Amino acid sequence: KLEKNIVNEVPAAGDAKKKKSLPKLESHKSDSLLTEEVKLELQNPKCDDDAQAEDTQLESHRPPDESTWCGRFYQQKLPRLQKPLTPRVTIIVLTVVGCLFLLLGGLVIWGSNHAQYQMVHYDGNSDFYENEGFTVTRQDCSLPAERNQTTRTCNLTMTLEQDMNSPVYVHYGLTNFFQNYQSYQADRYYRQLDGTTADPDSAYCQYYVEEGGDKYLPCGLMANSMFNDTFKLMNSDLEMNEDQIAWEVDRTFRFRNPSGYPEICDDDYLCLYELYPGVVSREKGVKDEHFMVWMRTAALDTFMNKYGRIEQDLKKGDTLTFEVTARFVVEPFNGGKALIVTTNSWIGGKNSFMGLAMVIVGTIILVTALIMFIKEIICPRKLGTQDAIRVKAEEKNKKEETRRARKVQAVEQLDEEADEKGVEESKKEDEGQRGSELPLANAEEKDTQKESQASLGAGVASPPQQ
Amino acid sequence: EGGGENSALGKISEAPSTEYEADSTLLETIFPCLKKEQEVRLDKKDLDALLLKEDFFELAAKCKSVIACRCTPLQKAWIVEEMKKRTGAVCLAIGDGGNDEPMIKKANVGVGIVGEEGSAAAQAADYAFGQFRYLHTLLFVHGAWSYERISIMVLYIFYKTAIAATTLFFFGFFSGFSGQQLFNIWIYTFYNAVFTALPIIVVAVLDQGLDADTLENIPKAYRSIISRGQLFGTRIFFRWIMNAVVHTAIVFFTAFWCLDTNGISFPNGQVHGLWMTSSTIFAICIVMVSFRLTFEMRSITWIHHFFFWGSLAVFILISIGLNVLPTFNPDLFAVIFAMWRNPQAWLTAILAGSLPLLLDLAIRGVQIELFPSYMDLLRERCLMREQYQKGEETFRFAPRHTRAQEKKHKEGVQVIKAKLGEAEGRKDSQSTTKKSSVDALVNTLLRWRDLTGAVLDATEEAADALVMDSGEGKTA
Repeated sequence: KLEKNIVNEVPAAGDAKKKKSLPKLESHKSDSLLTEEVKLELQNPKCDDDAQAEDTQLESHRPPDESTWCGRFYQQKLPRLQKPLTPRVTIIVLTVVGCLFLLLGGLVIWGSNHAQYQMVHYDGNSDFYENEGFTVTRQDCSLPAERNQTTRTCNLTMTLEQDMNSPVYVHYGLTNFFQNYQSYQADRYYRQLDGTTADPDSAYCQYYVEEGGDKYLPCGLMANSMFNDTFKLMNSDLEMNEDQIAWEVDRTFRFRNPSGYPEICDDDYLCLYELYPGVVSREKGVKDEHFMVWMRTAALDTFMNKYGRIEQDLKKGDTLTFEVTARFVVEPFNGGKALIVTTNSWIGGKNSFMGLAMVIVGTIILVTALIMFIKEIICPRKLGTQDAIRVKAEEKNKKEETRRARKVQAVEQLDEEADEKGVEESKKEDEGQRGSELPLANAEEKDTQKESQASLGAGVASPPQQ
Repeated sequence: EGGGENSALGKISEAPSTEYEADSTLLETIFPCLKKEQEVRLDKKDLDALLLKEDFFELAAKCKSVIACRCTPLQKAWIVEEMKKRTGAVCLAIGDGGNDEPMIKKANVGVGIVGEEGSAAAQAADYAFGQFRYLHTLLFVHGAWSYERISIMVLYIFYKTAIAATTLFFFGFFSGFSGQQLFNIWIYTFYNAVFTALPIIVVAVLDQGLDADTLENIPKAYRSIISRGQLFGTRIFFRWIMNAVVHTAIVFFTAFWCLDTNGISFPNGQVHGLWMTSSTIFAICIVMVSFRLTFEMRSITWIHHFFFWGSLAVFILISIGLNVLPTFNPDLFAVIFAMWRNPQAWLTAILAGSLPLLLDLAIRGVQIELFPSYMDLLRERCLMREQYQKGEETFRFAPRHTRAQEKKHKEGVQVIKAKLGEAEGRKDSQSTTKKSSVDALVNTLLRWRDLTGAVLDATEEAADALVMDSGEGKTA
């Protein structure tokens, strides 16, 4: 249009010059060139590759339409959430989790302090739970090897240091007894315990299968190593209940005596009451709750198992007297035995580790979040760019490197010039030209010196160009 | 063809066709080209002589591009094979005709063009598409995506398996190294096959590190993805395995010390037995490993959500199943429900399971802040583009002066846009009066001043902002 205007106006000579200097701002299309063919092509461009491809493409070759879900899936254009990790997210997550841990840690510590433990060691030398804040006394009811005793009865006394509210639980504790050993864990036959069959199966039990023609009714190592110490509460006004200490599932469903019990025990089966006289009664057999508790194995070599329950409130200063009949020998494997009286809180028993761990972890997390927050306030990093601290550090490093490089370069230049000087001098000696040559040579040297100095100066003075 | 008198091309076409002379002239004429990084063109008569020479391939490997035309199919295949052998590089061959078939078969990656010359090349190829220019997309978009997906997959699968195995190893310390497995055999079988399998497959199929637009338009992104040691390498693999060991140690020891040191963990005095501890730690492992995967998910679709939460739901269902069947798996009978009712188990799970994740989160946050990789910066640029389009601020925690600066910067951008708008307006205005030529002239000059003034005034950032602002990343 511009050209049209200028052309139609019949410009003067001055304007013509201006016209030449004008850059061409618009395309060359003038009306005369817009023929019908050209117009058609503009409307239906054939130079567009995609359009051309679509025309010649078979139906089967065409990619699925992107408006359908199928098409979007095949073209990998499903709607996505694609956000990078911003510091805001990190700080918020860390703060929330840190506060949560502090809160939970506080609750756990409160619950843990609420639970009271009192313990009497009566065999062995271990420091069973001594460091956990329990009250531990040592009384001796051991079965040492020299004496060759199988049973021993003693009285254990326990003076309560705090009020204990009902229910007060009585546990026994063992140390250094690895119930989590592989051959120990494998050695039980669930069918016998279930009551489905009475016969042992050597595929399941490796030890304690048969002896002298009699088959072990609960076969296996696990069943035949039961803890057979018994405790009796001697306080006349208190009563220890030994029922409902096992899991309900065990009591109702999982441990049953097989059919024909207890008559089959007389013939060719060795039943529990024969293996543990005084502990398991003939009527109960496998359903003895202490046995069930024993069969729920522990994870570590130091563990406590439930023994009984006192459903009365106890006061501080009360003295509990237990009569213990010790039969379980622990000295050969350096184990220890203990009697423990506890009350529990919402979290169970004392757990000094968890509360402390939560509080410490929560604190560390909050400190990290705080540090990141402070950094974001003082020196935030604009998204998509390098951090300012890092950029400065890198620039500093680069400056030092360039300085060092230039120094090296300068030294090299001087070396080169020294070499050249040496060469020149040797040349002069060869040619034997003195006098007129010398001032020239000196001038040359001066020039080169000046040049080198200038280049050095330039090199040092010029700013590092990145 | 197309070269000047002194160019190497002219000399080659004048060279005689005897083998010896071809060699010497080639050496004379190629070396200057190499110094100037020009291109070398060889014709068939040179090819026959030269393709058998070792030096040729050394020279060719040093050139930026080598054009060998009028080759027979066998010669093409020979070139590809020799380049593979001598440089050890991964070779891609692309062709559209039947004569390209041997070459395509020989190469590591064969690409066939379906089109005018038929589909003979496409039949023999690994990849086939319709236009040569789609090679750009194949390499830069799909190649980058595939590399990233495969590296994530390999690293993560080793990581999750190592976690399970290392837990069993650590338990050995407490069980006298007797070989007792901490995890119940049935639920452990499902670990790799069912509980942790599907989410990583979904990620390995659908993940997009950078979106297609960015990868197509910024070739440097491709470089930053596939260069050795960026996303996958010996060091990175070793780091992931160490990660697995450290995470397992954290999970295992925290869980054990929380659950089993003091015995009683139920309010009714019940003790945490072996199988309850085992189930707790197993559940912690699965949840932690699944959430660790979310750190590696660069983009999340609904399919990811479905399989991720679905796997956890399947884990719960199978746990319930094992809990309920008494004879199938007597160890876990009634254990899992008891575990769910135990407050200590939940607290342990929260503590032990989230510790490794928080550690990773903190490390990743610090790494992005202080040592962002090129890909991280690109992803942030995409986020910035969205924010610009919505008018949000880039960072909200910033102090007032930084925010004021950014506001000023945005106003400056608006001013520049207004100037450009004025310039557009002036361009559109038409005047048909007698003085119109002068007006038009003045208009044009003003428009030029506006445009050049605008461009000169603007800083690089403003120009960037304008580019990003204009829509889909296409240069304005």
